[in-house]
Parts: sequence; C-alpha cells; structure tokens
Amino acid sequence: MVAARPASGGPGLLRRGALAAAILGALGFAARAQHPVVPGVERLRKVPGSTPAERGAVLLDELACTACHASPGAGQRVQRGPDLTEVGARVSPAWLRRFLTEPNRVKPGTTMPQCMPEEGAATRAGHVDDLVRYLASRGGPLQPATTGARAIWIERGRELYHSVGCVACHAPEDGRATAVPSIPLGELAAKTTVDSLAAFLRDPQRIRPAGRMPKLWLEEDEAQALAMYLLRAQATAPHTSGVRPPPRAGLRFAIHTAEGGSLPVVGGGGTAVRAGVAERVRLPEPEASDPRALALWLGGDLWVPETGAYTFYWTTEGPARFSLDGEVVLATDRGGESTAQLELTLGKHRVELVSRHRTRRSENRERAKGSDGGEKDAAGKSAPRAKKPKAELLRLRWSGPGFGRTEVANKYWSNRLGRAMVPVGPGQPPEELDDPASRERGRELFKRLRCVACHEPRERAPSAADLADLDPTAARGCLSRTSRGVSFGLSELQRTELRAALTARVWAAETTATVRLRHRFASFNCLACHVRDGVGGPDEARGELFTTRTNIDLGDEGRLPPTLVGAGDKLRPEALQGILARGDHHVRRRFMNVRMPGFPVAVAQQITRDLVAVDRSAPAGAPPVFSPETAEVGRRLVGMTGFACVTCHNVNGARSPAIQGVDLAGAHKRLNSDWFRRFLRAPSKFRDGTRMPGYWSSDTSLFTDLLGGSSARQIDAVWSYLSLGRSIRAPVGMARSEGGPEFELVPKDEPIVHRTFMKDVGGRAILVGFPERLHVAFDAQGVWLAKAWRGRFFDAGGVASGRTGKFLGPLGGDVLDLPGPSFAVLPRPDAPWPRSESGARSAAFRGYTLEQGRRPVFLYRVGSVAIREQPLPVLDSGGAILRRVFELDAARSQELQLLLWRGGRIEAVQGGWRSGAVRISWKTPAAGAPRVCKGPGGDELRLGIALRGSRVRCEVEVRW
Amino acid sequence: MKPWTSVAGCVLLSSLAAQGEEEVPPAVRTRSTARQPRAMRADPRSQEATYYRIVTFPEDSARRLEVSAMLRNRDGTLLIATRTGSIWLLHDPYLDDPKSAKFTLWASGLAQPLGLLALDGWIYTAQRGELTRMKDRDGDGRADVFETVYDGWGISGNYHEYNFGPRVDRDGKLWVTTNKPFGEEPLGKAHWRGWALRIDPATGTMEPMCAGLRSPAGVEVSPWGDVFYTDNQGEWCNASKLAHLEHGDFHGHPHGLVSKQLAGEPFASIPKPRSGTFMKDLKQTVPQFKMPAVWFPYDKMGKSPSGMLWDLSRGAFGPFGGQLLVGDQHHASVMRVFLEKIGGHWQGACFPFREGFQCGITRLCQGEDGSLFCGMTNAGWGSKGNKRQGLQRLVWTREVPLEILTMQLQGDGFLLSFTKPLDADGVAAARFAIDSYTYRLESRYGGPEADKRSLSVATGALSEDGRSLRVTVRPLRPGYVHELRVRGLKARDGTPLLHEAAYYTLVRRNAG
Repeated sequence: MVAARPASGGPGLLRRGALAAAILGALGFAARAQHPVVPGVERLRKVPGSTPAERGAVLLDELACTACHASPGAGQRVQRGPDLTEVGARVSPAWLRRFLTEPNRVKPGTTMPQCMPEEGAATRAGHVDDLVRYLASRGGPLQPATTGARAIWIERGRELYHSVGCVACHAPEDGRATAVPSIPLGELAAKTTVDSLAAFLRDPQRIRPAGRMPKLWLEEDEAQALAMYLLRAQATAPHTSGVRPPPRAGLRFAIHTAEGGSLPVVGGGGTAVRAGVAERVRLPEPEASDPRALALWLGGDLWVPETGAYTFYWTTEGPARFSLDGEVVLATDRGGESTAQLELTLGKHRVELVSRHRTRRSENRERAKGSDGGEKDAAGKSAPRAKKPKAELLRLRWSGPGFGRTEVANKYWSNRLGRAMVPVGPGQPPEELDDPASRERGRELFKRLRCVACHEPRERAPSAADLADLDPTAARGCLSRTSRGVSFGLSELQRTELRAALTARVWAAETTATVRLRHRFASFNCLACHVRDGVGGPDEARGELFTTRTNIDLGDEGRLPPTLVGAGDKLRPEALQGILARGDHHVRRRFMNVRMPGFPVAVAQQITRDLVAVDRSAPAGAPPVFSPETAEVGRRLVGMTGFACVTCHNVNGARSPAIQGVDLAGAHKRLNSDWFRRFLRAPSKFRDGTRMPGYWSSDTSLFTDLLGGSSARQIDAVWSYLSLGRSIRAPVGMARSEGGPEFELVPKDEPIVHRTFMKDVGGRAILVGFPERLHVAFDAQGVWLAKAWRGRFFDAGGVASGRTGKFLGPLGGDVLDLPGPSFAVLPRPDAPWPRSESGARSAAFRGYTLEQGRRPVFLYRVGSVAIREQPLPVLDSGGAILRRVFELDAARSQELQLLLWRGGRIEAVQGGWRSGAVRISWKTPAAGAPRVCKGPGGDELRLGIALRGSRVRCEVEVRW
Repeated sequence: MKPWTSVAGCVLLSSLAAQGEEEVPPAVRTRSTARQPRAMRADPRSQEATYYRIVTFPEDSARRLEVSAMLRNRDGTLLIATRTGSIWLLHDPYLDDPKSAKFTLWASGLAQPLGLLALDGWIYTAQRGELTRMKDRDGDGRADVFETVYDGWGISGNYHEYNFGPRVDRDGKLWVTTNKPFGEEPLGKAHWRGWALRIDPATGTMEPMCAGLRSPAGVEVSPWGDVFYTDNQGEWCNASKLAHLEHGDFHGHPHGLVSKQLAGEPFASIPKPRSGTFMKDLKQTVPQFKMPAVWFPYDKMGKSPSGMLWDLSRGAFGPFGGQLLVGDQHHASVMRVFLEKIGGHWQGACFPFREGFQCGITRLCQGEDGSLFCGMTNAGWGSKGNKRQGLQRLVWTREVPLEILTMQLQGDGFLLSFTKPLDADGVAAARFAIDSYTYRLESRYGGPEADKRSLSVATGALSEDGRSLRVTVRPLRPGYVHELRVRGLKARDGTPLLHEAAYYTLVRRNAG
C-alpha cells in the first residue's frame, strides 16, 4: 500500500504521468537532457599523456558497455546498474515510469541509456507500463513513509551533505557553480522515501555493488538527516499537506541553545543542536556538545483515556511553557512546580513543552564554587542538595478521573510531528499495478531489452556482439547519433574516445600498474578529493566546502584530504586496504569534516596492489630493532623533553596542548618504517606546505646526548616508541586524555593493584595496571587470570563514587579474554575441562605478594599444588605482550594440566600456536609439548605439566 | 540562574519526602514527622566545644581521606584505611596544628577495607571479597604481602554487601560482620550475608555465630570479652541498635536465613519472623531472637550508628572512662552508651555526647593520649557537616561537663549518677519526664516509635556526695525505650546539665 495518495480519482497511467510532470515542473525540477556524466573522464582529459583511447576504455567500463558486449578484459569491478530485485519497495512506480520513458530528462547526465530509442511513443509507453508493473511487483509495494519532516533534521542534513564529502561528486545545492560536472541525483523527492534513502546511504553497495557510490560511514541519525535533506521537497510539496506520518511512541525532543535567555518558538526553530525521541517528559542525557544553558522542546500527542477533568503538575527548572492543542495552558518564569486544571476529551491532544535548563556541566561547576564558599557556614544543612537527581529538574505528572497524581507514562505519548514525507507526484493505486499479464510482459521485456545485463548480472542476457567485433565507424548503433540498440546521448567527445578505444582494442593491450591506477582513479572519482601527479583535488567552488572541525588550526592539511603522491610508498598495504575498504586508519577523522569513503574490498585490493607497485621503488631495508630502552628515548624525543611533537600531535588519545593533529599512536600500523625514516628527515619534500618541521634534516640531531646525537638512530627510536601502539605511554607534556572519569586510575611509575567489581570478571576481580600500558584482571573467585588489555587502565568510579555497585569494563582496548580455570587435574589429558561458571571453585585463592618493582605475584592452590603466577608486560613492537610466569610446587608427583588458550581453530605456527589474531608461545624445561583438544567452546590448547616433587617453572607468552 | 535551582531544590525535597520511594538511604531519609529532640533545643554545640574541642586534619586532594578504618600502632603512628581502598600511615597524629602532619601510603588497591586489626605481626582487614592479612615484609614502609585468610562469604554484586572487622576475641578468633544486600543482586543471591562470622586466623575455618544482621557497621569486643555490634535501621531492623553477639543469636533480618541450612543448628530451625510483631514479643515465635542492648531512637540519637570503642584512657579522655562511644554516619556525631547486665542481658542507656563534626563519622580510634580520632565519609549517602570526608580528632579540654554519667536500672526506676555534684536546690526545681515506646519488627523500611506512653516520675533524695539521684518511674515497661528528659538541673558550681536526654532500653527488669 502506498502511504499517501491524493483523493483525486483514477485517470489512466498516462494522464497520471502528465499530472506528475506538471507537479514536478511546478516544484522547479530541471529537465534538460545531458550527455552521461563520468567526472573521472572529464578530469582525465587534463592529465598530460592521457590518450583518447585510455579515456574510452574508462567509458567502456563506466557506461557498462561490457555488460552487453563481451570482452576478455572485463572484470567484476566494472560499472553495472543498481540491483533491482527489491526496487518496488523503495522506488515510486510513478517515478519509475517517468524515468524509463526518458531517463536522461528525469536524471540529466545519467549513465542509464534510453533502451527503446527507436520505438514510437505509444509502443514505448506500453512497454514502460509493462516494465513498471513488473518492477513495482519486485519487493513492492513502496514502503509507507514513517518520517515526519523536521526543519532541524533537514538543516542537519544540509550541513552533512555539504561537509562529509557528498559534494565531491554531486552538485553542491547552495547554487555555487562547479568546474567539474556533477553526478546527477535525479528527481529524488519523487523517487523514494526517507527511510529507504537513509538505508541506501548507510550501505550503498548493497544496491549498487560496483561501488561507484561509496560508503560514507554514516551513523543512522546522520543518514536519516541526510535523506530528509535530499528529499526536502517532500516536506513542502502541496500534495502532502495534511498528511501525517503514522504515530511513533514517545515524544520528540530538540535541544536549542538558550544563552540569550528567551524560550525558543514553540515548534522548534533552526538553531537546535540536538534532536531525537524521548520516552517521556524528562531531560535527555546530557552530551558534551550541549550548551551550558539550553532550551528543551518536547512535543507529541497525549492520549487522554477518558473525558473529564485533569490536573497537570509540571516541575521545571526555569522559564517554561506548556501548550495543549496550540494554546498555552501553563507558563512560568521561575520554575518549580506549577499546576493546571483542564477539561479534556477522550482522544489525542497535541502537547508542546518548552523549558529552559542549565546542563549538568554548568551546574557542577557552580556547585563546586558554591561548596568552596560555603565552608564557613555552620555544619549541617547542605548535604541533601548535592544529591539532586537530574530527572527531578523536569517532570510532568497528572491526575484525572479515577487516578491520583502520577507521572504521565510512556504509553500515553506518541508523536508524528511534521508532515509526512512521501514521494512527490501522484501515488499509484495498487489495483492499477495489479495486472498479471502486463507484469509478465514486463518480465519478458526486462530480458529482451537486456536490462538484465546491467541489473542482474547473474542472469544470462541475450548476447550482443563482442567488443572485438564492433565497427567503431558504423553509422548505426550505440555510437551513432541515431542509436539503434540503446541511446546514451553521448557527447561528441565521448564518441571519439569510445571509437579510439575500440580502434586501439584497449581490452587486448598490455596494461601497466600506472595505467590501471589512472583508470581506477577515474572510475571511482578518487581525484575528486585527492591530488596525484599534479591532477585532481576539489575544484575551487567545491574546495570551499572542505572544512576543518571545531576550528582546529591546521591550515589546508586540516581540511583537504591528503595527496596520493607516494601513497603506496608511505602506507603499508594492510593499512591502504583498510583505509579503502573498511574505514580503518582514518587518522584525520578527528579534525577533518570530509570522510574517506569505503569501497568494495576487491577494488581496495586492486588499487592497493597497483599503488604499491608504482610507488614503492626503494627496497624497504630492515625495520628498526625494537628495544624498551630505545623506545624510552623515543618517548623523550616526542615529548616536551625533546622535539615537542606533542605540541601538535595527540598520542593514543592523550591530547596535545595545542592543535591536536594526527594521533601518533597508530603510526606503526599505518606507515612503512623506511618511509617514516625518509619523511622525518625532510617532511616538506613529501608534502607541500606542511607544517611538520624537519628536526632531523642534518645527520646530527640537536639532542646530542641521545643515542650519540645520531639523527638516524633517534628517528628509529621514535619509531620504536610509536610502535608500542595502545601500550604507548604518554610523553612528557601531554594533557590528560579528554574527559577522563574522576576516578580513572593511571599507572605511572609502578603497577597499580586494584581490587574491584569488574564486568565479565565479577565481584572479586584484582586488576593490575602496568606502566607499560598493558593491564590484566585476575578473577579471585574463579581463580584465574581472566583478562588483559592495552591502553587506558580502569575507571575506579564503579566502586569509588556514590554507592559503588557498578561493574565496569576496561577503559582501554585490545581486550583479550583468557580462558579458565587455568589449571585442572584431569583423569586423562583430553577429558573435558572443568566449567568455570558452575560456581564450584577448582582452586583456592591465597592472595598475592608484591615483588620486584611492586609487580604482583598471585598465589593459589590447586589440590595440593601451590602455584605462583606472575603476569608481566613485555614491551614489544606492536604493543606490549603478556608473559605469564608460573611456579608450581607439589609435595608429591602428579600431573596438572594448564589451559593455554581456547577458541576457534588453534594451529601450530613457527615458534608457537595461533588462534585467529592471538599467538601463544611457551617454554618450560620440565614438561611435554602442548596438545590441542576439541572443546565445546572451540579448540583448547593444553599443556600437561608433570610435577616430581620439585619446583617447576613455566612461561607462557600471549601476543595479540 | 541561582533562584531556579533553589526553587527546584525545594520541590525536590518535598516530593522526595512525599513519595516514600523504595530505595531510601538510611542516612538521608526524611520523615515528615522528623523533629529536633526537645531536650536539645539550646544549641549544645558551642557548649560541647568547651569540654571537647575538635582538631581538623586539612583536606588534601591527593589523599582522599574517606576513612573506613583506623588502627593505632605501638610506635605512635596511626594506620588509616579509606573506603576507596588505600591505607595511609599517619606519622604524627597528635600535632595540635595538623597542617604539617605527614602521611605516607602503606597499601592501596583494596576493596573497601572496613576494619583494621593488628595481630601476630600482621595487619588484618575485611575487604569486600575476603578477610585479608597484610605485612610490610621488606620494611620499606609499604605492605607487600596480601594473604587471603578467608573468602567463603558470597558476593551478589550488590553495593550494600559491606563487611566489617575483624575484631579478635579472647580465643584469638576473628569476628567479621557482613551486610545484607539492598536492591539488585547482579551475580545472584549470595551466602553469609547479614551474619556475624568467626574465623580462625590459623586455619581459615569459619564458624557462623549470629544471623539476622542488617547493616552491622560496627563490631567491637568489649573489655570484658563480650562482642557487640551496631546495626543501621531499615527493613527488618526498624530502629538502629547496639546488640550483644552470642553464638546462635538471630537479630531479626530474615535475608541471611538462606544460609541457615549451611549453618546447621541452632540456625537451621529459625523461622522467618512475622512482619509487624513487637520485637519484645518475638522470642515467643522465634526463640533465637536476641533483643538489642540499646536502641538508638531515630533522629534523636543519630540515624546510622557506625564505629564504636570503649574509652580505655583511664580518665585521659574525661570522666566517661569504661563507657562505650559510638559514631553516627549521618549526624556527624559521637554518642555515649552506658551498659549493665540485668538478668543475664546486656542493656543500658545512650546519651548525646558531641556533634558538629565536618562529616558523617564511620570510625573511631582512641589515641595514646586518650583523644578520639574520628574518621569520616558520607559517600553515597550524605550526612550532616560541610565536608564529604575527613579526619578529625576530639580532644578533652580537661573541663568537666555536667552530664548524666550512668543510668542504672532499679527495681522501681533508675539511679542516675552525674559527673559532678548536683546543686540540691536545682534538683528540687528541675523537671523530669519519661516517655516510653517500643518498636515492631517489620518488613518496611524503618519504623515509628510504637505503643508510646508517658510514665510518671518522681525524684528521690540526692546522695550525700551529690552525684547520685534516684528517680522512681511508674510503671517500668520491659521491652521499651525509656526516654528521660531533664530540664533545669545544675551542678554545685553552677554548670548546667549539658545534655538533658538519656534513652534507656529496658529489656529485663532488675530482679531486686
């Protein structure tokens, strides 16, 4: 069922189409035919040395010529049309019909050809009707709209559209003229719904697997806002007036800045900083971005269960206003509780609540001031105020027929604010679409017209001539002015280029990595953002829309994506692939608004391979040898004690005091170490206009006392330091990480032992935080080492603030869950391992001692065996690894099993075992080899330890 | 913007009071009927300061002194444990101006150590998860051995499962009292919550001693060897109390009875008490039930009794030697308790002693000079006072206040003894009143004074030395608090009676 449909009666499909065109014309949609837009090719024309044949080769891909004309070189990466298997669920039949009739008029510049160029208007219309019925049946009908238009969402979408990177390929919608043509959006408002477009924007490759539309890593609310913006014409189109979206539970809220002191206009304006849905009348959870003084707008429908007299009790903090069905029923300037008595009828009533608040942040600050000043007061009266829960600052209760004063429960609230956003133009009565014979004809046409070739690559399309057999000079055919097969509306230049490609038989020509890269960069429009070989980057008009977040002073480096010159030399292949496909290693995300989008994995692999082949000339040389001592020198150099890199760079989340540039902690995973060496000697050689200074430009460093003053060795030391990853210890001069909790424990010069509640470990967890920034949790209930992680240690607030009953997880990352219990006495080595959750304790915990450097050794007994276990961090390139040192004493001979690892598949590798990303190695002189047993939770790596009355020492290393 | 907050604050308070929400912290519970005890209408704080002055250790941001336990070392130093798990060594506890007092960190990372005890070269503490003993093996001033003595009690993951102690009895065994949970139990129901446990430090074996405890924030062995504890009012403990712990006792809260089968007899046969029974009558249906030694009437005598100790200073701390001093975590006060054994049962009276500390008092520790270290925190609850935590020392000024020293039960009333000879004319002019009330054992949180009745009082003759006075009370009501209020009493030297109230919990009648 189409969500909304005007009441007008049902003339035929064609009449309806004319009506739609009239409406769309009235809405100001452009309708001018244009040759298909392939921006990469336009840009390639300016590349010195690029030939028409090369550009023609790109066009062969981008126009999907090879979908019909087979060629030996065509791979899976080539452009195809969108997946239409569910098209009926997301595209309005009316739009489909218009588009199929004249693709290039509805979407000027589209690469979708006119597939029936030779048919007369009447036949074409009949074919289109059949195709529409067929397509609309696939996944149809169009999903009803569930979204109500909201100005602040549309505004947010506008900001996103013009900042996260959409305008690199698509036209900015603020009227500015761009030098490079834009990929058309078509008449989106007539085509689809907010929910459907938002789903597409979050994962475009589900529908367009070729990846020309990349993924921008949008959050759900971002995709909603962006979709609402792109479909904003739906919010104002005349036919949707009076149509409401279906109700949703809860109230809508919007937070506005309110420093000025006035209440926002009822209904919310354009200045909201945040919006969403609230379950009931309360202050939303504060966020860091909230202003200190805010105005909260809450709106929704209140279900009145019975006609009668109702009293509302409204507790507010400051000036506030309560409107019911558009009339102000309560207004206060001072806050506190106010009441209103109203006669209400059964049914829904529209409620809007606007109130001013101070946020937690400002309140805490003032409270701190207040308590300092209040010390001289007589003891006694101040305590209860400090415990004021936030929810009490805003509350709405009511009483009515048959019930006393109570909070207005969630079930009484619903919202469907704003007008329904449904596709503009007429809806399609389902009965008109329901014509099985026509639908069947449509299915046939879909094949006969070779639609399947592009839209259903798995289907076998009727074959056309092979590329090799085509005559580039033929007077009839796709390349002629009077196209016979399909008509793309090609420009003269495009025809020339395609002919050149056919003549040169580009598919048969030997390619080089350089040529392939140029081809790929053109196909995926990489140069819309990036510069390589002197070409590319946003044109002037678009360039202004590339901005830096929160006014960080980094110049163009802070707003424009990096150059691709030497990218294959700089970045490790894994990092390149991660950046291209998975959104990993986005070091600039913190300060750059534009986002590096995600492409299909196959594309990422190809580009990575070719970039490395082209850019990586010099052999890498041996990477710096890691040692904790040189890493410490590196730390000195990076900190304020050295070259003060931290003035501009963050390190592992710790903030630089000044401009907070790229976080250095991930560098070793991202960069080739030899590039790093060369770069630090002369940064400006690698990046024009960089602010990065060359501290080591001569062979002798300014710090002559470190590593003999050797620049090369100092750079290696910095690399060693950075290679610690999450285990990295913040350098001197670093501000503490932003917004760290009040009770955060930070190991500095010696380990921190901390007994606590811990999530997934339990009520008897003993945590050890090491200065090496590797930390462990020992479970004194189950009696085994249960967890290890890197980075930040732990927030003791769970057991230190307030009533202390919280189970918190680690603050850091790289969390490793170790299996347990560690030891068991088994009847045979492959007997099932005792279950840890059964409550029975297989070992007795005996405490711990603090040894050398106050590093704890845990003491426990399994049967009559006394066990000492010392977890130790060992600094290594890639982050600290965990070493577990065991000492076992048994009075009598026996065998004990040690569970080294559990999970997935465990396989033997050089020097140990591997299970996924975890590597285990082990050494003990006295025991046999570990064995892999099958367990219910995956493979188990067990080590039998034979005890003969003397002490046995055993070491296990876990690397992950 | 300031006015908003205050307005909202008022609304908040009134709505809280009106609502009676489920989880109401014992220390900040506001009753609409709450009122100041009549006997204390004149602000006694300034007068109290004449006799006992407070020395305040300054706050230090690096050292959050949320005191959870204290221990006097033989070398004159003081160990101070904190709620957040550190143990500090205070090197010079007795400075008159403690700004320069030196603290060093002795241990850290413990889970709520709520007691400290020195025994056989070890320092013992009850943590959330276990009874631990610690030692500074290498003599560098910091503990480096942490041995688990006993960890057999359960943890449900509820915040309220505190453990208090240990205290060593005459057999060398360690007593620990355990809190029962309040609210959600994320890890499931746990054993031995709400019990007094006795643990052998040599073997780590545990002997369950008493059931039915609620929030037993203080446990102490008396100079004569009996063990007492303080309990915080709430559900099934409807008035805060001091009670004597003897093997086999049930103190009223049914939560811990989940472990009664593990405990065996006499615990296994404890029936769940019926809510609403007068505690004085409960023994008829629950023979194991033990009446308290002293009830602390709500808001008149604090709200949350915590740490306690017997004044063993032999006069260095004033005229109350041998009596029990009890801290209160909400009222930021210290109370005084006189005990006597009547018919085999310990009972007695409590008196106001000193208030006006900077925060709710959790722990007391008597210094070698007799002064009283008061450790504080109100985290999670709030209290009177203007600080969230801290350490203060109460020092006797060597001025003797006029106070009711003891209140002994007689066959027909009470014998009051005083710290100073009374003025005989004053006695004649003074007014005496006695109210009596008792409490029910109920599942609801807290409980009102029940079956209230004013009793008739007559004063007898003043003893020759002017220090004792008999009051005849009719009738004496076993099972009831006898709240005595005196107005207008003066010492021969003209000093007025400092605290004009006393609360005698009469459980057994004097045989005579």
